[in-house]
Amino acid sequence: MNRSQLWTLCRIAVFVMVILIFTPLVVPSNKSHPLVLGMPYTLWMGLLVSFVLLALTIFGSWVHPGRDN
Amino acid sequence: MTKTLLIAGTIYIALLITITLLTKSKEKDSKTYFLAGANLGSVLGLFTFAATLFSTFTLLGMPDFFRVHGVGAWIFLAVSDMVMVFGILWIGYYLRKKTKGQDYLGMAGFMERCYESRFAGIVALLGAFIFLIPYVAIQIRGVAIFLTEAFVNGPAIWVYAVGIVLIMLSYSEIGGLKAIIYSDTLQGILLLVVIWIIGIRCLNEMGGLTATFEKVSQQNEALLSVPGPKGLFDFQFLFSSMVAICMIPFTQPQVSTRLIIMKNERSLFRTAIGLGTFAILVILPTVFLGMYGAINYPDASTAEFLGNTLVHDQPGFLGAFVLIGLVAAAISTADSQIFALGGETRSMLRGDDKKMVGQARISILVFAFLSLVFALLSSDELVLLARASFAGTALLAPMIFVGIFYDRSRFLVSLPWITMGAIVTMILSQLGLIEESIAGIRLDLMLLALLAILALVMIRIDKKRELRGA
Repeated sequence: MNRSQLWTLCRIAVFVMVILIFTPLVVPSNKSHPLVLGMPYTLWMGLLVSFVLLALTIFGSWVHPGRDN
Repeated sequence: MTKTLLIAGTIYIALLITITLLTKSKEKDSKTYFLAGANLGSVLGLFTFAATLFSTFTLLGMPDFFRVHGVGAWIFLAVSDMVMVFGILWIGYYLRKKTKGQDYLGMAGFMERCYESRFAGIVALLGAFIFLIPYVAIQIRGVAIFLTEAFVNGPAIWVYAVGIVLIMLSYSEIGGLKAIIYSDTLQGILLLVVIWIIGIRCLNEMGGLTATFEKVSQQNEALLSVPGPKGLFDFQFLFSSMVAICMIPFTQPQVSTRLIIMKNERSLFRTAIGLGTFAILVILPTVFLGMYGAINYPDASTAEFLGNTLVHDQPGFLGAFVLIGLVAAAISTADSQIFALGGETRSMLRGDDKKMVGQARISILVFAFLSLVFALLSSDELVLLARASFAGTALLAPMIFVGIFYDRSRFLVSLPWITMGAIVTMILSQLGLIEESIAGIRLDLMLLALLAILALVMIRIDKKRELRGA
């Protein structure tokens, strides 16, 4: 895969993440379990989503077609 | 605490003065004064972005938001910020590409050039002005009410507000954007250190992470899930907030200016990564503070909760650093916003550069005065006021994006007019003259969607017209 294709893949991954954020997978209504490290579900899942998005930003910065401009 | 506050406060002011004097340039041309030479590296870029974005709203508003509305506040701000950071990588690149080689001084001037219409520039300037003044005001008010709470027999709120505005104006007027950027670095580090120290202290006080959430669960279980006890974090609120926050780098001039003045793309990308990391680091301790408040001060007012949690419950010396950290957070955001409004004004002025810089500097004084007045009159709902500001400036996004991505934007002259109509509608809704939601849909979301659809339709019609012409 070339840089441009990886960049497209990265954007698609972010798009999918954004959709997932608003589904019960991340924000289930009135549900606080299962707990992780004592944290309620929405909080630890939100943290996880934040780290995935940060990882995608790091990856995106490596494969961005304009990186060397 | 007073002794520590005096010593630390003096050191803080002395550092600000030193930074201002060191960065002060004899040249007062527009590029030096408003764009700091347009050659910003990634480290300074990170801190100036961070200090500009994370402010009183984050440090005072977010703990209160967690306390009152629960853990969904993480999705509202932290997750939205992470999407925004990716947007800097994606859209920021195109904004820089489009403005390359142009004499960029502000988004208003850039819009005027894209649409070949002065009105487009005026809409960008007015939109930023109308919705940023309340945002600046809440920075000032947030810290001022906090200080009045911290010093029970201290001066009145207006004394603190005037003091903050004077400090902010003195170094930004003298040193320009360069002084602001360097002081942002100092203030960004200060606020991160202070919020973590307090956050960890509160967490230890509550017996650690697990014990904290157990106690919150016993007190008010609704805080541990969405939509929260008051039902605020529903789909529409979270989605429209995310959209509005993601638009900030392009619709709020204090941020878009920083995108433009980065040295190169690589610096911009590194800054974006650093900013994402900073966002997680700075918002995480506000969860602990909010939960601490939910356990210890569930029914207290915002000011009481913040005054107790951040100052009175802390050892004296730490309380003093909190006060300085909060003043720094407020100043570092407010000065950038006020200064950016000056930059926007400059981008719309024509004539001798030195004279125009002088006029723009006067406009900074006017904007600061208006913010001060608004700060003294506004409500204490810091986060919701900030959100209204994000949502307001987001209405400029379709017009700005068309300017960035569509080369024939000059043929879409009605778009700035329609954007102006949306801004007026939004103001009427904020004043309570129009319902905030229509048929169950939030008005800000509806206006933004309408503007986006209209922009796409206009582009389609223009492309057909172009084909017919060819």
